Amino acid sequence: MSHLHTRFFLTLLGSLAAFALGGIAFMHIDDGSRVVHVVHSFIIFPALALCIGIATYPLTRRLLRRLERLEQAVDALGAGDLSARVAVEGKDEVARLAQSFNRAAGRIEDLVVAHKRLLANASHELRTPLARVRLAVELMGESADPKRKAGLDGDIAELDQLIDEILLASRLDAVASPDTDEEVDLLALAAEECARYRDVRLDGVRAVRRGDPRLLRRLLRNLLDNAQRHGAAPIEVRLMRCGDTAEIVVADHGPVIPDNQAAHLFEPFYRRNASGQVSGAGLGLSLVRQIARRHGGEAHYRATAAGNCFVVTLPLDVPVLSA
Amino acid sequence: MPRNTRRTRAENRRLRFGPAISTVTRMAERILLVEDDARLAEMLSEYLGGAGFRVVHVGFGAAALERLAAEPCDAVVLDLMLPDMDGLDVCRQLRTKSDAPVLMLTARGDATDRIVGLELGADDYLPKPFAPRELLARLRAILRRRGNGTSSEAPLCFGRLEIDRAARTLRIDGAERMITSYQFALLVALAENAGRVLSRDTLMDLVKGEALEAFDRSIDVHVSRIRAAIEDDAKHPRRIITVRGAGYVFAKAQE
Repeated sequence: MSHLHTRFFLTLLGSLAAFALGGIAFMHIDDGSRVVHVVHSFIIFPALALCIGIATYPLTRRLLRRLERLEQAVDALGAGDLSARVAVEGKDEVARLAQSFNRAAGRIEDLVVAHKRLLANASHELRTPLARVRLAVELMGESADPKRKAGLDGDIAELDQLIDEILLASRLDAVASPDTDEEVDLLALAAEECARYRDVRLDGVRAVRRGDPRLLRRLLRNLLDNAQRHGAAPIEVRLMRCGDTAEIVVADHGPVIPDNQAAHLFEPFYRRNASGQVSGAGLGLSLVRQIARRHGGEAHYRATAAGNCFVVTLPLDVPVLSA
Repeated sequence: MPRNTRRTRAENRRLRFGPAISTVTRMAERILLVEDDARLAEMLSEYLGGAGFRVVHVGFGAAALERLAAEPCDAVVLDLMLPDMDGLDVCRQLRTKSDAPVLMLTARGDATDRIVGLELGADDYLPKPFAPRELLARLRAILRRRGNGTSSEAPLCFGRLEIDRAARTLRIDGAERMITSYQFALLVALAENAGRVLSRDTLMDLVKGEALEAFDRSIDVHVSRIRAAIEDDAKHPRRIITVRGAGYVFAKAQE
């Protein structure tokens, strides 16, 4: 029989026994007067209830405190503190629950550490050969056909971006805390990214917020890559401020995306059938949404009379979410 | 008759590696390359050797520390993922034995590595897959920095571009580019605020000390001169970008 159950059972039994004793004592009292009867019942039963309450108070208080500590540990684990553990006290169900929680938390911590190690190793295993290819292209020197060399450079850059996206997608899922949190000038970042392309027009106002500059750069780059790949020129980027929110709009003049496809645009590995494109892993827009949400914002698509609009809203002056 | 387009070996070398840094007049600088990938190390040795360096390769962290204790070197190119030791540990131990500049190479896309590495005393950091010319430019920059002694104003490096504030020189791929003193001040003001939009008025304020020239030519003209010196394609600038109605941005991420 369980310890906790025994304790409750014994407490209950004790209470009943106390009531029974009180009842027997009450019956032995000379009932010459009904007033005495009522007075006795008013004194004895509350006194008994008080005794029971005082007797069970330390037990319930201790039990509740242990459950509170367990709850705090569960919350801490949920918030990303993988080292959160709870002290195991006694041998009852709560103690066994604490042991089970500690085992589960330990397992989760091991898995996340292993996952991080795997990501780091995968990154190394994939990027080192890529560095070799890049160096080999450079060592080909002037003997190589410049057109073919430029093509190889483009392929290397594409492969590098793909590796980056796959690793980033896993990393955003696995790692709760941001790599860096610093002030980012969104207009400057947009200008820098737009300059990578010809014929991309930027309009906007200055908007500064704290965040991970590498992730926000990736967000903008993916939106522009998406517009270049699937949309049509002219591509326009607008940065607006609506109260405490910055709105980044990337608009292109390509054919409007049908509703049934638009609903899946931000899902990982989703690739539109109509695009006729085979490049890319379908991670670009899902990363855009993941990064926007990590910064407390949102990403969505809307069709306009002129074409397609991808909109990212980012609250200004808020800390980066840690989960 | 077709014009003879064959280049001499020296010309080819200059095109691939940039101008030689006085390799004729002084001994080739000795680079300790710590890289566990033998094929990459072989290629790097060939590439850096072609640029006039003497490369010694080791594949393990412990071997690098032993080698360094036995024979000094001018610079260390250190991969962060080694089979026997963490590259950051190697960097920490290396700092206690030598003051040779360290250029870290890493394949991990983690900003923490860069921050920790630089705190441990590494001089520069380059993520894989790096552009070979950028590696060369950065290696030359850290060697030059050490050669000039420690300065309160470390050079600003953006990809292949190096702005040496102490020497007031500007280099791309190791080749010096000439601009006026005012334009240099303007470039430094932009580079020190990389990743931020600076209005023309703010720029004028930042280069106030360099006055006079500001009155005879507009900021825009100076910027176009700087672009001519530092951009690969001045008509489509990637380093100094105009933001309509706001000013200029000096790009933080450059090739």
